[in-house]
Amino acid sequence: MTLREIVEKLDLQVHAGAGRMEVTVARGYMSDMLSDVIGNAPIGGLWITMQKHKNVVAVAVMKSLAAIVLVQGRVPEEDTLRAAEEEEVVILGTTMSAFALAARLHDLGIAGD
Amino acid sequence: MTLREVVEELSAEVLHGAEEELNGTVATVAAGDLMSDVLTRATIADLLVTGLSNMQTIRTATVAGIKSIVIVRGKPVSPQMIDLAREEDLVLMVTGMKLFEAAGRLWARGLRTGETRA
Amino acid sequence: MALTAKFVKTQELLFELRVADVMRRDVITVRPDQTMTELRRILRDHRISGTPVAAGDELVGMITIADLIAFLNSDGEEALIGDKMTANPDSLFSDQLLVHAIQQFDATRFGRFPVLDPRSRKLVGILTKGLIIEGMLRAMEQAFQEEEIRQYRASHIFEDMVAEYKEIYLTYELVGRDFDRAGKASTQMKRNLKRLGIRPDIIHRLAVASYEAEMNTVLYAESGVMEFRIAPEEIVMRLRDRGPGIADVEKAKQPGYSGAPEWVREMGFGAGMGIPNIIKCADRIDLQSTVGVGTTLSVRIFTGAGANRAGDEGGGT
Repeated sequence: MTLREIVEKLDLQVHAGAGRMEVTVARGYMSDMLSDVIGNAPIGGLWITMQKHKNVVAVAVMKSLAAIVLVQGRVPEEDTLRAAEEEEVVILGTTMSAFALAARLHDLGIAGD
Repeated sequence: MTLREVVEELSAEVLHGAEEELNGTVATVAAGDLMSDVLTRATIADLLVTGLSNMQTIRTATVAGIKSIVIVRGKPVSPQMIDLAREEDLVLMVTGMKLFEAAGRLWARGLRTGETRA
Repeated sequence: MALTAKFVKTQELLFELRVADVMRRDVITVRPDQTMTELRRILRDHRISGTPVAAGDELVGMITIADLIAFLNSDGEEALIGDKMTANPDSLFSDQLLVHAIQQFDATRFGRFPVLDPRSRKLVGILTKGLIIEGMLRAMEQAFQEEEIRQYRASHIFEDMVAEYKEIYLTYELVGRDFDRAGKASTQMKRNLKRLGIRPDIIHRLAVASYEAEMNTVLYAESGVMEFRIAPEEIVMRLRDRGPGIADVEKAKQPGYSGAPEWVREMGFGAGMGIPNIIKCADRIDLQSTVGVGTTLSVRIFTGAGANRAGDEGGGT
């Protein structure tokens, strides 16, 4: 499934990276602890988190993540957006809780493990 | 669902919790690694699902009024944490599943956050 | 009552309860001059498996369904209960402790015992294992209710005490960077407030506010003192710490602002929700800070007539 399809089906906001929506995603990861994402997230996966500070961009680059999805209506900080543009990282957003979003992605066939 | 069913669904290992307590039902979930977020909830959840495995997990659950905890990602749980769970009378279990997987499964079984933002 | 406490209670009860407390007093009996055929009807009608044989209110024997079956199989003519019964049966006394009664059940494998009055030796009741269990459950429930009442009583502490003015002070010392003990003061305080019978929603708000404040001190400061003043109309938590202080107090009150370093986030905190959450929980707060010296935070929650109900607009500075 592509990011574009996910965005459409789940009505997600696009905070950064509107030009990179054709990427395909098969795996998802849910965590707010950067050390954990760096250690365990699937390469190329979709990352669900509440963290909106700049460091999330570096992590996304390190793991070549397809996109970061910020939950609960949280919005990336100024320098997070700047870093995302520079590093070409996609940041999406939703008002849903992480719990609900993980479930919806599950339904769409995005696998956890 | 009952805590016993949560244990089965997540293939979890119970670190503290008697049979009687495992018969208790849970309907609402707080899922995430940020304890500060758990503390801002408007409602009190029945179950905390988190990858954060330290004393603050137990203390946050106590303060927030949450009665049972699932540690995900197979994180190691210290004896001090188990002692504190026993002192505070909380059910504590650990699963090797990732948070994403655990969340999806519990949602499928009908658990919700219980907050108005779904 | 926790499960382990219940087990201890069970053992205690075995030594506290007596046969008289759990036996059935309206015993069905038969007379030795009645027939086995009548016995069959009686056992069937009352759905029992055995009965004492009494002459007046004196126990003379026991007759059971096993005896009846033996009689029916023997193909004999009509017989009297007096001929088929077990004379001088094992019995219990009404003043015996249950623990001894259970020992008797174990030793003899009988299903029931007639119960005699220790002085008059008259038949006063019958005891089965089922009755023991019923009796114990009732006693445990009673004990549980008494425990609840005791807790309820202990809780209205201000109402129960008489004085012109009543106030309770509780103080906790906080040590910076001590992550094993971080939050201990708040959780202990929560337990104290429960004992004092404070309303649960107020306990929740105070516990959350204290915990956030305590975590801030442990994460960023060197040390702190957390003092709770519990008065009839309000509870005030005051935390004074020694540490770097907060540079911009107004900014710190904004949701989403956080100067937290990564290691703090790795602990599950520092997502910038501490102070706004404290404001949300409190009725009044006062936050003062001097950079390089420390921070003083006062949190006030009303508990008396002016107390907010959950859902009210909380939080004022």
